[in-house]
Amino acid sequence: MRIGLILLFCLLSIPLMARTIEPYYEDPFDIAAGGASLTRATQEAVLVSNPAQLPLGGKFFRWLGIKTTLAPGADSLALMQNRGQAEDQSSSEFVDGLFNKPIHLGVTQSVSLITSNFGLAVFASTTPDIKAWRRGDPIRGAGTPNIVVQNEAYGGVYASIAGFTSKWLSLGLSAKYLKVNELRETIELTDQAAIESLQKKASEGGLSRLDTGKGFDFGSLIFLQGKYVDFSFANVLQNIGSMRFSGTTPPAKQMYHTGMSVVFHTSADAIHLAVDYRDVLNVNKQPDFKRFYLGSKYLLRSYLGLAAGVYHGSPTYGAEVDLILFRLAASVYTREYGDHPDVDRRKIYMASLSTGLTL
Amino acid sequence: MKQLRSYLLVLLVSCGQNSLIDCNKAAKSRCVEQTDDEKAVAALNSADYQTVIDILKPLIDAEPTAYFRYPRLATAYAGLAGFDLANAATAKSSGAQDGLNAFNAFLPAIDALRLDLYHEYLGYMGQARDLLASMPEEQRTADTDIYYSASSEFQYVLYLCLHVTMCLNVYQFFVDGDSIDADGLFAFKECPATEMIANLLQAALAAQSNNQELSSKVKELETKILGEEGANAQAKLEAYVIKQQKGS
Repeated sequence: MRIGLILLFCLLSIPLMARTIEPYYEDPFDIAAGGASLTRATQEAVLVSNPAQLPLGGKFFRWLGIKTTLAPGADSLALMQNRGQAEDQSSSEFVDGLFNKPIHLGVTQSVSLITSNFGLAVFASTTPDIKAWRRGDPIRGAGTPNIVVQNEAYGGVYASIAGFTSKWLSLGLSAKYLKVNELRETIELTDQAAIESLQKKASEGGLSRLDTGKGFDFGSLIFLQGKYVDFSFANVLQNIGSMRFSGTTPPAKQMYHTGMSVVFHTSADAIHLAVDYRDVLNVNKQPDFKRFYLGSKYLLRSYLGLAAGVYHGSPTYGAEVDLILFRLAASVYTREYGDHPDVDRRKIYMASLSTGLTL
Repeated sequence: MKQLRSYLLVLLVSCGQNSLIDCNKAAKSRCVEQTDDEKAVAALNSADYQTVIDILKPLIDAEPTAYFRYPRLATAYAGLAGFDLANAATAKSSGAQDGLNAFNAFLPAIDALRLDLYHEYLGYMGQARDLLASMPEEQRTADTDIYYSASSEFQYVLYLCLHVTMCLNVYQFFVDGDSIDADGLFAFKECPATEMIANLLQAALAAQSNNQELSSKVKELETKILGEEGANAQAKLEAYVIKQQKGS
C-alpha cells in the first residue's frame, strides 16, 4: 500500500529526466523517420528542429490548428491490461508487475500557426516513466529493489521567423520561452528514511516546481533543388549562448547540430533520406548512438506518408495520413534511457491527431 | 524510383525493435559496448549471479575503495545462497512469526540428501555478510546521503540474520531426541555458536537506528539463547534449539 501511495504521489505531482540532445517537442512522423528532422520536420516541429525550414513549404499559409499526441510505452499497455483483468491485485503484485513492465506515458498538446516566413507554437507535454528494478537500476542501484521515477514536463512558446536570403540558402531564428520540470528520483525500497523524505518533498510541492527559461535557436538550410533530386544541408545552433533556467534546472548548453538529406521526387511523390548528427562538439557528453539520427520518409501524393529510421540505435517506423481538416500520424520507436543500447530501453507507441486548416 | 520504393518497403518490413548496435546481438554496424558495471547490473537483474561475481570481484580487487560495488556483489552472493530479496519484498506477509523464523520462507530448506548444497549456501551467505562487513562503517549506514549506504546497512543486517537463521536450521536438523548429533553438527564449521551469538548482537546493534522492530527481535533471541542452561555458548545454543524443537 505504501509503495502504491509513493507512486501516486509522484504521478500527481507531475514533476517531471533530462532531455539534452533530443528536441523538447517531437512529431510522431519525424520520430518514425528516426528523428532525423533537421532538414525536414513536420508541422510545428519545424520551429523546434530547424526554423530555416519554414520557407520550404511553397504556400504562404501552411497550417493553423491543434494537435494532441499520446505516447504510451508498449509495456505499460500490457501492464494496464493485466491490471484490468485482475482488479483484486494487491500492491505487492502491482509492484511485481512493475519489475517486468515499466510504466511510460507521454502526453503533448499544441496549438500552432505556420506560414512560410513566420511560425508560432504553444505546447505542453509531460512524460512520466516509472520502472522498478529487482536488484537495483544501472545508475544508482545497490543490489536491492528500487523504483526509478522520472518525468519530463515541458511547456512554452516557440516563435520563429525565416526567409531565403538567396535562391538556395534559408536562414531562420526561433525565440523560445520554456517552463521545465525534469525529475529523476530513485526510491530504494529498503531505505525508509529516504522514502519518508521523498514523501515530504512531494507533499511540499518540491517535486513539481516549474523552472522557466528564455533562449534562441538559429538555423540555416542550404537547399539545392533539381528536377528529380534535391539536396539539403542543415546547420543549427541551439540554445545560443546557453539557455539558463530559474530554480535548480541546469542550463541547456549551446549545441551545434548538422544534418543532410537527399530527396528523390516526381511532381507528386518523394522519398526523403536524411541523417542528423546532433551536438557535434558533444558538450553534453552523450554516447554516439544517441547523436546519430537516420531516417527515410516516403511521401505519396502529399496525403500519405510512410517512414522508417534509426533512433537511439534502434529501428523506428510509422505512417501519416494528411487530409484536409485533420492529420493522423503514428510511430513505433525505442528510447534508451541508459548510456548504452539495451541498458534501460522503452518501446514506445506514439500517435497524434491534428485538427486544423491548411489555408 | 521503383528501386528506391522497393528499398524503403524492404526497410519497413525488415525493421524490428532490437538495437542495431547492441554488441550482444548480430550487429552489422559499430558496436557500442556496455560498461562492466552496466553488464553486472543487467546480470544481477536477470539473476545471473555467477556472471555478476565474475565481473565485480576483479573490479573490487583492483579498486577496493569503489564501495558502490560491494552491495551489488553481496546481492549476488546472497542470490547464490538461495535468497532473493525482491521476492521477499513483494511476497504477501504470512503473519507474525517468532524470532527469525519468518526468514525461513525465503531461504532454501535443508535437505538430508543434499547437505553439501547447504554448505555451499552457508558459504555464499557468509561471503555476502563478510563483504559488507569489510566496508567502512561510514559507507554502510542509513545516516548518510551516499546512495548505496542505506542499502548496504540493510543488507548487512539481513545477511547477519539470515546466516544465523540458516545455522539454527542446521542445529535443528541434527536434533536427535534430547541431544544433538554432534558428528553431524561437527561437519558444519560455518556455524560456531560463539560466532552466531556475536552476529546476533552485531545485527541488533546495526539495525537499531533504522529497524527497531528487527533489532529488538534479534536482541530478544540472543537473550533467550544466553538465558539457557549450559557451561558455554555452544551448550546454551544447543539447549535452546532442543527446547524449540520440542516446543514445535
